[in-house]
Amino acid sequence: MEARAAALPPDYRIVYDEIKGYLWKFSAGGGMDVIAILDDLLGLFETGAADGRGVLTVTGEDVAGFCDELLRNARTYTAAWHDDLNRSVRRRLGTGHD
Amino acid sequence: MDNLTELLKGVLEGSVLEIIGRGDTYGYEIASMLRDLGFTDVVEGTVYTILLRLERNGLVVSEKRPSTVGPPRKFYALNDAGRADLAAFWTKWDFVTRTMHELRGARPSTS
Repeated sequence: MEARAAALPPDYRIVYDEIKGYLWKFSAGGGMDVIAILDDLLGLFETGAADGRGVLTVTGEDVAGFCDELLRNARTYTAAWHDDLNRSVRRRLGTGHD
Repeated sequence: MDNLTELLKGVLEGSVLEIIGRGDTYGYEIASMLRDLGFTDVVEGTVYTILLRLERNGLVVSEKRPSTVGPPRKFYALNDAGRADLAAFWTKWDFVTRTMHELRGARPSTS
């Protein structure tokens, strides 16, 4: 995967690195889901680069917003905390099954 | 029209399903179609994240096909679950638009 990333044009490489760093900050699982996202993302970037489009044309100017949408496909800390809170409320109100 | 991002969330997912339902297609083509329709700030990345989600939720199937230039492209097709979800989307859409018309004070369209 790193060899594929290194073969990208400079603008794609910069954005790929930024995205990679951001996704890992939120990853709460074993990381396989993030690796799958990054692997697929390389495919998107390779196609965009081959078509001669700039990286921000592909991701949009709001790269962080793009990342947040990608993260909906991964197990994140925020999603885990989200579920914890709802489980805790159910337990404390005595309405849950947990 | 610009600055529709917030309003379009959710609607875009249905739009992508609708477009895929008309024939196998890929992300860049879907984004171009949506921009041509007037959703000018939809980029390929927006459609890409929706496609990831649709695939993960088992609503579409994808297949890599070779391209004349560059790496192979991922083409998407609806499966039965996707077709059912698309029908459900339009039902929800009809409800929302009818209700919004009512809220605005216009008579709901008779259908």
